[in-house]
Amino acid sequence: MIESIRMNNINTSEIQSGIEPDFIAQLREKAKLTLLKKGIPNSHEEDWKYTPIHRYFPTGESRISSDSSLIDHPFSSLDSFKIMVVNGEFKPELSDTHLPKELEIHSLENAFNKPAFKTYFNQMGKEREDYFTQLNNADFDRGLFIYLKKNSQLSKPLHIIHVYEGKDSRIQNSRNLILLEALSELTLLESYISKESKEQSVDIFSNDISEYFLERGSKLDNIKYQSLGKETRLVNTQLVDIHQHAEYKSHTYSLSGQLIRNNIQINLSESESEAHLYGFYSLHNQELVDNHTLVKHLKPFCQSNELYKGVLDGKSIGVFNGRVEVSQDAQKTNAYQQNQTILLSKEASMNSKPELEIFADDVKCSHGSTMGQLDTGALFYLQSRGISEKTAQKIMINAFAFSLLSEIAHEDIAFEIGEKIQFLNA
Amino acid sequence: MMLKIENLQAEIQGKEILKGLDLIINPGEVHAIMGPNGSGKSTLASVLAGKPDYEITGGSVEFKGKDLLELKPEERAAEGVFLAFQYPIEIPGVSNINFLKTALNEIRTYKGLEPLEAKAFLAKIKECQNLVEFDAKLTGRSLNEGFSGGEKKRNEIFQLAMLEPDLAILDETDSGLDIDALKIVAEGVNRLRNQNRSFLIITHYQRLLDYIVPDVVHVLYNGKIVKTGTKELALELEEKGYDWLKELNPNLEETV
Repeated sequence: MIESIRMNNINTSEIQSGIEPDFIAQLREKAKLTLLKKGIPNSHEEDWKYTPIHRYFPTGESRISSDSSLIDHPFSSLDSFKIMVVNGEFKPELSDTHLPKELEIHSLENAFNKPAFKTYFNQMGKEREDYFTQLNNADFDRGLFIYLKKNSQLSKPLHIIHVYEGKDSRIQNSRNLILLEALSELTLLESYISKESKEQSVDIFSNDISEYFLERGSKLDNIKYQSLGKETRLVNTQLVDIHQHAEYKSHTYSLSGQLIRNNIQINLSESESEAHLYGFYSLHNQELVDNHTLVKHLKPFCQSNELYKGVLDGKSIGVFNGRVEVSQDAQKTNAYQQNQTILLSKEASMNSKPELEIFADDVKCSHGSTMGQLDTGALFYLQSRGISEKTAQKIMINAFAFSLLSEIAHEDIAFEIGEKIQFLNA
Repeated sequence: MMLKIENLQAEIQGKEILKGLDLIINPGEVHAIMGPNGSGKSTLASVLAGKPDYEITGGSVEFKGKDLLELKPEERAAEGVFLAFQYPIEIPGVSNINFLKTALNEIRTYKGLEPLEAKAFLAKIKECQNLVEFDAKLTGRSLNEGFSGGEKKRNEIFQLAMLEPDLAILDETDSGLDIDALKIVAEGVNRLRNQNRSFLIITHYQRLLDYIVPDVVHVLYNGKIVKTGTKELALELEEKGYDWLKELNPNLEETV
């Protein structure tokens, strides 16, 4: 059974064969061989201990309904450059076409012959042996290449809207590459939404990998807003390579979806680089959100800071696994990590595992994890002023998320996410 | 009648605190309750506001003819009960102004009224800030976060002014205040007194009652009201100390 699922999930039809350059073809061949040896991850593997991923694999028939119509999407009133991506595929006809000349955006097939793409592609991905990276290597057939030129800043945020729709009998694989050349700066908002209709929900399993390269002195503020349908599953892997004096900020808001697994790998590959990872998850019913972060301190004088907070209701399951590795070279490292969860229901569960592995001797590192209920004293205070229990809870949850929202520099984006959190917990 | 408490008994974690308390407050009256530590003063305030930690084991509380003990804390607030906390809670991330807007509008919804328009709301904020001398800068900040003791207490009185309750319970509002802060708080309360609004002022010391002059003074001891009088009773109590009560009532248990 598992064998047949595995084979189904490798796309043997070779959509791209013939037009693909050798470096891609070779990558696919290698990955397919690895996959034949590797099984689907199960709960005996440490990385999937709390997330029974095989239960979420696609089954049955496909129903792809691509009507290419404009889609209601969040942040619609935000002044931004909009890029629409449907099931991983770049849709120029639904995207803003007038982009500043410092910014290039290409679909994956058009990117293959770009020298910059060839230089960077899979430079982070090649470090990863895991099943979903290999599956993606073997089978990716869509994606984006975003290229911001040296010294440039955009007048407004770039908003990539990842839309999922239809039903698919196999896992979809998309692959993106985002390159910030030296001293460039970008606010990148990525929304993940399901295009649901009243009759049918979106029954898709998407395995997306994005590689981000931050060249010297560049800054990327990356906000991810995940609001997926009740049958949409997403394994989203972000691999971020950060060079000297460059700074990456990640804000991951996971508000709904059947299953969301966020893998973030950060390589602080040159000295004096920084990464800040913030996350918020608000789960209901039987939703599962799994945040796996890996921060590699490879050189001295780097900083990483991580704060993930969440609220679990119903029978939802939260997973946080944050790993920080400080290599022998990485003296004067500062690394902090914190996970805080509020459980609103007795049936919800949280699995939190901060990990530190340190090979240098002159470093400052700390990590911690807390779980608890909403403060009853504060709830009573609000209620004693005429605020209903439900509203009081909502206010408290918003207050809990506030310290994360205040880290988003773009005020309009922070404001809209704040509103959505409030609405969701109503 | 505003409030009628009969034979009220309450406990926390199995420990009996109120042991048959009786009290009647009419509209417009200011009652003070004094008593030594552990006599049940703050318990009475918490029980009236509906704090869930306490269990009512006997007696009844009628508020404007309704059974108060049947109501949730937010319903009590909407009906017109207000508790100024002894230790106001800090809630980082909740702005004072949004908190008040939510509270005011939920109470209005309960009463079947439309939410207040932004303009009217802001005008009311301004009026109440002036009335109780509450710093406008604090209104925009997170609820009580980083406020001094005096600012927190003043914020309680500001909320009182905004929510316009029928019965305001002040739980040791004077504790931790220096004399200047105390005067400002008392002045705010005096401005909010009127013929329909009643006050229940809980205090350990007579000092506050120099500035907010009560109509009636009660002495609470070991979970019961043991003596009731005029404002002179407060002075007498201050002078003779709480031991005087034991001399007056040799039957009083000393099991506090």
